[in-house]
Amino acid sequence: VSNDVDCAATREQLGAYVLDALDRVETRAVEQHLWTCEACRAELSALEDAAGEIALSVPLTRAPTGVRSRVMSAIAAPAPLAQPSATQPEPATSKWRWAAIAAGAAAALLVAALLGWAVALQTQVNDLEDEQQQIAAQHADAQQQLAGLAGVSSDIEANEATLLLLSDEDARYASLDGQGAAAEAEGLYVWSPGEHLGVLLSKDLADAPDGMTYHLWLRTEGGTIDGGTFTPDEDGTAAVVVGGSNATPVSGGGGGPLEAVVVTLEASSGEGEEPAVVMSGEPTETP
Amino acid sequence: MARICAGDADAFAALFDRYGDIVYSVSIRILRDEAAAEDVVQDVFVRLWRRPDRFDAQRGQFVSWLVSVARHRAIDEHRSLQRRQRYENAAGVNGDLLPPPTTGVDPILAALVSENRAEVRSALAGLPDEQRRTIELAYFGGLTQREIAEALQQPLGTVKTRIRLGMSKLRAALTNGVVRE
Repeated sequence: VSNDVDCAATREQLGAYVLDALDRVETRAVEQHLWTCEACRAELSALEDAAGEIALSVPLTRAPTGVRSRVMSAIAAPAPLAQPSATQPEPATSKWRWAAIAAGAAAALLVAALLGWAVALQTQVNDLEDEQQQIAAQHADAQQQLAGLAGVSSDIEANEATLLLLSDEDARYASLDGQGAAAEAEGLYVWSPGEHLGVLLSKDLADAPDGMTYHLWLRTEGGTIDGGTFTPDEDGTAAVVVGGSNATPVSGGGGGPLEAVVVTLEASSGEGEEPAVVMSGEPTETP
Repeated sequence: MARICAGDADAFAALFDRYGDIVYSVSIRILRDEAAAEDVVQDVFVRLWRRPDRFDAQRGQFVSWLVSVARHRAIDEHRSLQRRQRYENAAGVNGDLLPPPTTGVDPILAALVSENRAEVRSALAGLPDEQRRTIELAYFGGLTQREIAEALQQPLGTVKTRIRLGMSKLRAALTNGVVRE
């Protein structure tokens, strides 16, 4: 019965949803329902087609000739990064958004992008180490210093773990697509079965709403491993270390090959409403 | 698209010649500023060139996907450029969903855009003005229902009802009247 109520409430809002006219809370409620209801997703698809017609009905105006030459000279320099096999559709409308969830994403592309990021992380590690030394030297405010160091050292560990994994030939990858409240997000879980070490790197993650937190889960053949809760940085990136020397301890069941990596958004208290899946992905095949 | 994925600049130029106008038209409809619309066109096409794989041919028509990317990009631009004047602009938007006679645009594009869309277009034309205007403020103005209610000084419930009824009519017209491909 409650699903019927949700359906009715969702149908009321779907027209506004395809126009992006709902506020954040409403959008989230609609997406949570869509996630569980195929009938409403079908209705969504029909409404999206209708909304698409609105765009195509604009008065046609000739693009100024200068644009063409600007575009052509802009593309003359760099070659395309991507190959058609690495499908990761733009989350432009939810038709493609939902399609993205259905389509398994290839990690290779993201790895290429993240290798660039790794270089930036190395720079960050150096910067952070310098900063740490400075702070240690200054002894200005003991408490503040301690808090600062705690934050810094955890970052360094994530960064170093990432670099270690990226240079590990046996490292495996699972690319994660955002959905629902984190539709814009993308992520990569890199892990080394030999080292019992894994890192989730993600970007474009929105701040968790008040009282909510992100939570990483690793589903294996033998059970689910709790990867711990985490908070994205101000720029929407997050690096979460699983395993390793002194990082988040692996708890719960688990064992056997990794089957899926999932990030949920849930109440910080661990109670309240059902956690919503906001990112998920499966390991890519080993070469 | 396969040739564009392979980095064929000639194929890309041909694609621009076909779709550049509609992307520009959607952008200028939203931004009402030629320079800003040109920037959006450039951005959309350069992204397409760099990441052609983002379009998945199995999921729908290329032109629909492309204009929806352009619309989102233009609305983002609109928000960042004109946040302060947002409400004034929104209140000043005129209902103009029906295209005037198209001149000077690629005839194949014009055919593509108008193909099989008579029912939806007449449904758009047939909407009560206030429903059409409300939908337009959301679609081209990038406003939420709440913001539209403030801009039009109408109760939120009224705005919600207009959008729901209007979209439902458009959807019905599409389902009942148009044979897709």
